[in-house]
Amino acid sequence: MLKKLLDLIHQGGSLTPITLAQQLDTSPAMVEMMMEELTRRGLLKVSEFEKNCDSESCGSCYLTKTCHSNTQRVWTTSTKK
Amino acid sequence: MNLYREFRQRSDSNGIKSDTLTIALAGQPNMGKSTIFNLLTGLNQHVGNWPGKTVEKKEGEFQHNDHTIHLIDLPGTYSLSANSPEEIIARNYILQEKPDLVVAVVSAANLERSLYLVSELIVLETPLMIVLNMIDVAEQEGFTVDAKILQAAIGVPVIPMIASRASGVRGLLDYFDQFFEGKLEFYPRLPQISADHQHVKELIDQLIDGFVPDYYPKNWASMKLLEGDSEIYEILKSVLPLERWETIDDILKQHEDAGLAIASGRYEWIERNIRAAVHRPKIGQVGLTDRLDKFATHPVGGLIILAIILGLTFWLTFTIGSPIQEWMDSKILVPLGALAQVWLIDAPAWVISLVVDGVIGGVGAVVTFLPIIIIFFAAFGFLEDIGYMARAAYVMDNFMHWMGLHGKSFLPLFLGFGCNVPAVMGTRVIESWPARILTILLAPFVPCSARLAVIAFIAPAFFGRNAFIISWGLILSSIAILTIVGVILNKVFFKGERTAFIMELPLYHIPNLRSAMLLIWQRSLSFLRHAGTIILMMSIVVWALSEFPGGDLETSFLAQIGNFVAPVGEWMGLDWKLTVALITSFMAKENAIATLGVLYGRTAELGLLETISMTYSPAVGLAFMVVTLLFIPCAATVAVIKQETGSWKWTMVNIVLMLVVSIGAASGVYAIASRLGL
Repeated sequence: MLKKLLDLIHQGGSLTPITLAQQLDTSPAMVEMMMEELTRRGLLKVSEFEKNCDSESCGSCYLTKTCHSNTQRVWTTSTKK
Repeated sequence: MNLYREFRQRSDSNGIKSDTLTIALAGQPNMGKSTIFNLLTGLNQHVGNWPGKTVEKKEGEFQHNDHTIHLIDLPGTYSLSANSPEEIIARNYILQEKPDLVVAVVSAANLERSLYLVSELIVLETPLMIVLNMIDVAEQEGFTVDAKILQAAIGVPVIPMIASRASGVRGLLDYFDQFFEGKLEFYPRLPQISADHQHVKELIDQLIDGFVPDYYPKNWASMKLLEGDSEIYEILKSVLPLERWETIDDILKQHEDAGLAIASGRYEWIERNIRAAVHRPKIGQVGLTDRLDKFATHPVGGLIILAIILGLTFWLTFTIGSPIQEWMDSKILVPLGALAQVWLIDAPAWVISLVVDGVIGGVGAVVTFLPIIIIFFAAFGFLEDIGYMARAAYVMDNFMHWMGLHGKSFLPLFLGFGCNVPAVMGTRVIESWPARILTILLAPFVPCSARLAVIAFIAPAFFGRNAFIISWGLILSSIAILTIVGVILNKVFFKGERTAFIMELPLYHIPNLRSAMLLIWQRSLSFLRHAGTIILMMSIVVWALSEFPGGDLETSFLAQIGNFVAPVGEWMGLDWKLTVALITSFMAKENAIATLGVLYGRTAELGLLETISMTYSPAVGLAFMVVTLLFIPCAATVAVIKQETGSWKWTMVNIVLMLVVSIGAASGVYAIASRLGL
């Protein structure tokens, strides 16, 4: 199952856990778990994309105080195969 | 197989009293394990530390039907690998102390994740029960877990429970009774290593046979060895004869991917059990998300939807925002200027000019933006709230992939629609330095809300009813220019590669009206504060430069600066006033309008829009909008570019790039529009 997931990811392009789950006929939660497993094994790299909206980062922007700071996870393939 | 009976034989030989039962509670953090421990033991519990560790150890006792039950609350762990002290404590306790029973607490609401630990516990040969906690939360989330089917699928008792309401405790105690009486049968179905590595496991099993310490099951030890478990590796290395160990070590080196095969077997086991026991009707949020995403994240359809949404935002702006803005311009600002002149009739001429031209003309013009900018705030806030923005970034990312750009690039770029500053900051997510530089260079090409507002302000002056189409076209064109510039830079300088990119998309949500209104209110106040500080300061500076040295605009310092740069402006059809307005937008994009307000405040019988529409041709208006959209970013963005690149060189590259593209595009647009007779 993990290998199937890796094969799909190595085909390249933009993916989401939902599209991967559809292709593997499983749930997005399972795909996320498996991606975390692959990340632990160094086969994927995960980054947390944040809108760094705080006074330190964008103090000169007048929307700083009202800007939501949220986090979104993105995974990319690692050079390790 | 009746593991209990096997255990009882073992226990009797070890002299463990048959009326005392030791039960270990295992589970991941936040599964309700401690709640169950407290429910069962009440006040009769002891808290200390595990020997030699700083990890908390909780144990307690309670009497049930003349039996004493000794309960151990194991540390919360996600697996039984040797990755953390908690995991080592939990597995060593089960393997070495050999409790009579392990109770795994799992969450029905998060069953996939919970079952991972169970997939490891079940191979430990200690009798196992599963408490299926939080069944109420699962139901609230729109799905159910059938405990009986799960029991049949896994082969160990499964007891449904809502620990937070003490519901299901009686059922758990009944199972303890049955266990005590030896009535429970355990037929655990174990996860299997994937078929392509089965022979490797069998080989390892043979090689370690007879050498594994008594407290480790052989099957488990060989799996852990193949998984690269450091503790088991060291233990077996120390007990096996050297020659045999070297053979094992060679096998492990040849089959480094065996760990993946074992983990894969566990996920297949979880998937089978979930498929059997979880009933998830396709009508909930996930189902709706799936259906909507078929369109919203489609490589082509998604782009069309994005274009339509951007168009709809502009349509709303011109249908609702622009008429209110024009009304504020002609019915509030013009009379206010006239009123100020009356009030200040005895004041010196320069004071009247400062108030009427500088403050009312400059800041007032920007304040009339408010209806337009509120619509942008509302539209972008709504799209963010419902979860669409992440999709928009995703489909654009797909589009960027076609062009050979880095996968993560458009995620920060998309933030640029709100403000270019967080877009530049957001490039920190990109590990590759060339890709990050490229993305930073492209970020200012994304039209920020301030630039969108300037376009929405000016377009109706020149294009009336067609303002919507023109603005929409300009925004799509600026995205196209961003793509073209990106592709060229990428191909020539950075040579980007196509890599896989997986992005987490949130579920769609129904937005909360109260939160949305509060956000619009807060942002409107922020905008007004911005107008009352930066814009006011710049308006006064522009006014002073336009007033001095002699009080005549055409011979003022501003005119001198304007005339100096006018030759470049002429390529785009801009006179010195429009060129100066463009330059002042460097401090804040809205300053372009504030400057025009100051410069044309002198003919304030008409609103600013009417004045500029009578002064300039549509070709000039179009060129001004193009150059405004693509011009060098505001000072705040430039400062962040310097901060993030750590280099003046790249900051200057960005400024020059934006200047070349903006002036080139506006000159081209002006030439074409003029030939078309606009």
